[in-house]
Amino acid sequence: MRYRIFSTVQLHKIFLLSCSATLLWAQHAKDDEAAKHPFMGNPDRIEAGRKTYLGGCAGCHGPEGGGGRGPSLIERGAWHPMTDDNLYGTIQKGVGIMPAANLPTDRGWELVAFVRSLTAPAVEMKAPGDATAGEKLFWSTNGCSGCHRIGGKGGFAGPDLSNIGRTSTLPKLRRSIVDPDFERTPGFERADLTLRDGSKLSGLVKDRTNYRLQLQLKDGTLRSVPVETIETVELTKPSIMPADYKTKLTRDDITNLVSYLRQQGAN
Amino acid sequence: MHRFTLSFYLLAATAWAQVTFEDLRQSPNQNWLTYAGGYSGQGLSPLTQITPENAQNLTPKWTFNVPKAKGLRARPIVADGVMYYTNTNAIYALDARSGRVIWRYVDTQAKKEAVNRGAAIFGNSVYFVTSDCFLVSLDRRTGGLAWRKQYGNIKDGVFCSSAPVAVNGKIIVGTAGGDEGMRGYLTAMDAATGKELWRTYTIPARGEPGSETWGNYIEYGGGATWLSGTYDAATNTLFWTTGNPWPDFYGGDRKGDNLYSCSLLALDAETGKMKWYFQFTPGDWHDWDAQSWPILADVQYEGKPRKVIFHANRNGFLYLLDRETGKYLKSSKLIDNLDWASGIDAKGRPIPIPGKDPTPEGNRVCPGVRGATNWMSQSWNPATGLLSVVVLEQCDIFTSSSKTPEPGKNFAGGGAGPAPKDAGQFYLRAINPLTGERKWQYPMTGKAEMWAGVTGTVTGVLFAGDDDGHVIAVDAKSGKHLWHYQTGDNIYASPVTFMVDGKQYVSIANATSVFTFGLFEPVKSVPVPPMKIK
Repeated sequence: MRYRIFSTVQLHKIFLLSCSATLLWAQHAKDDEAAKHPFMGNPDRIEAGRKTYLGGCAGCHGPEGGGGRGPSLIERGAWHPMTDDNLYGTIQKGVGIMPAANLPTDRGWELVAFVRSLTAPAVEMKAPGDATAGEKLFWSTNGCSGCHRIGGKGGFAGPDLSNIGRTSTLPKLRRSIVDPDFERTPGFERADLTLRDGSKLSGLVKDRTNYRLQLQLKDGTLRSVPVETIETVELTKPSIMPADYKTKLTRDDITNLVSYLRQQGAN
Repeated sequence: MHRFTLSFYLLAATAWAQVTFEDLRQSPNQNWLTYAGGYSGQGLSPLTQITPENAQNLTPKWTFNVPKAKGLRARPIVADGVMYYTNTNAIYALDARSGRVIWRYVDTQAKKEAVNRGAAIFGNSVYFVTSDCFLVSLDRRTGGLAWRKQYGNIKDGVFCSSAPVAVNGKIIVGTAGGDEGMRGYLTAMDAATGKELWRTYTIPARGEPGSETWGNYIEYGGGATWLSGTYDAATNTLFWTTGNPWPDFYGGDRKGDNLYSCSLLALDAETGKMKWYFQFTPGDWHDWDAQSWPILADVQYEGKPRKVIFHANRNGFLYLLDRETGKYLKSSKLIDNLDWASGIDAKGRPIPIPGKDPTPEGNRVCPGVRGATNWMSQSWNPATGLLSVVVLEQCDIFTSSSKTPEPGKNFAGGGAGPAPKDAGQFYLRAINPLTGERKWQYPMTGKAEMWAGVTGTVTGVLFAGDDDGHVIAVDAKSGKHLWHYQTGDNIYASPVTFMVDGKQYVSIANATSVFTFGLFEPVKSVPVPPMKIK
């Protein structure tokens, strides 16, 4: 008894904790292995889910899932750990101030499929639009390729989009065209430097510390600049991407562009 | 004012010219453009800033903790002040002066996780392989994906880890997986498009020449190509070593030499056709892959100039071969604890000592399964005539199983490992490869767990890792300790040295991070420049 470490109550708690841990582990294992519901990734069901969403959920979660009174649904980290079953249960039964939807089973799963589609890699989702027309627009004079690259061609002023279909989602692709400041890709602040030797240097800031700036010049050249050689720095924080594409481009243009961009990284 | 700006742009344009085949032939210089440093695999840098006299002033310059790293194997490549470093299914472009990330690419499609050994560079692209055998081409300025092309299927038992080799518009990639049953091969892919140009299997198909040296399981015979190769531009020849036959520790069902396992292959880089081969360990039962460097050198041998290859093999012998024909010239013992063969005969074939095969009960054999040396880099210095190589003096208990082999089921036909209280010891040894004379050795304390390589400079400094997690500098002529730094973990990778902005650096990864060192400079107070934010 002298060496007894745990009381009976503690042991009981540990037992319960162990059971919970086992259940959680089992659930995790089940999640990993569970077959997806057949509606997941199905474009017709996703579209049906979108209509349900606009009718009942968009008021709190935003028309494109970006959040409002309710949390954003396009940020994967916010709810990613939830299983499809958990999500279905939350929709149907509600949680906190979110009311229960009490939808017929299929409509509930359509909604789950739509919400899942908001964070799926764009390349895995079907999207409306004419990708060929989007490609033409991307590479046209004064088009996107003046600043962005795909497959080793294009400009350096904006993010390389060669793999964007894998790293972004359909909602984010669309939003980044019409609202470039909503989510800035690091490494695209513009810096105008005056160096102590009197020369000027401009480029995009790939990295910035108190001791060194890593610039990418217009031709793609990288230039690592020690801070002690800099006289002044002017930083342009907002995205240098024009913010007026929402009015410059038609709705079809944007849809076509998204359709083209979602294919990048599909190989 | 304009003059400054214009001149800067011109300088920048020069510095960022595309990496050409000629640049690769000139490496290593200020850059370190291939996994081995240069095509010859000599592991000798021409940089002269760090010397035996000042090596004591080396200090850490930066550390990069590689995300999710567990046992880093990769050796960096460095071009124009940018370091490219790979981990499992990921590559990072770092400012080689500061270690700060410029871009990163994480392959989210890969369906397997395995170690990765490094990258290749050519033109404006940087290349690496995913564990599930896709060759990935990225824009080296942005990390943008140009393409990813499959050259192997994990369902066939292969996986991929080797650093690609860029040769005149082709990217050569190898395969791993020889311990579980697969058929090894090398593939050349077009550097611009990823189109497969040739594929050469290291194990013949049934009915092909060499297949008569096999019994059963030739279809899963192994012969992996998981280490990078070397290259002779003068003859357009690739030199690539092959892994063990499968099952590793039981050869009863594959009696014969098991060509072309445990061999060095000389291949025409244009076509992939074999020019010659040399098999170090015929019909191997001890998992003694030939994966160690085939170092290309031009030497005076028996009074005449001769193009040769040095090869320190896992089986315990150091070989000297004719580079043009593959003819065996000479061998010597790399290690003292070598008891499976009494020597090498005139044709280069080992003279086995009976009773040294693995047995069901276990049989103590030297060297152990990890071999006398392994993938760790070596350094050849023509000026001193010394080959510096890290060796392991260790014996293992080898067991065998005659159970019916099952490919892809983690079955190796047995196993091997040291007996309790019989751990080995690592040494850094300098050997004259023409005579076998051991000039000096640097013994290491530790648990015989590391896999660090060695890199030299023409000034006579050797950089290496030791078995306690230190990066060390040693005098190449005498083996005298010059400097050391504790990294806090085991080292399984090999060092590189390069120069940026007039300063020479040395880099090496331990299990989780890349460390970079340079000569001491007092840190000056850095003013914060006035910054306007629009």
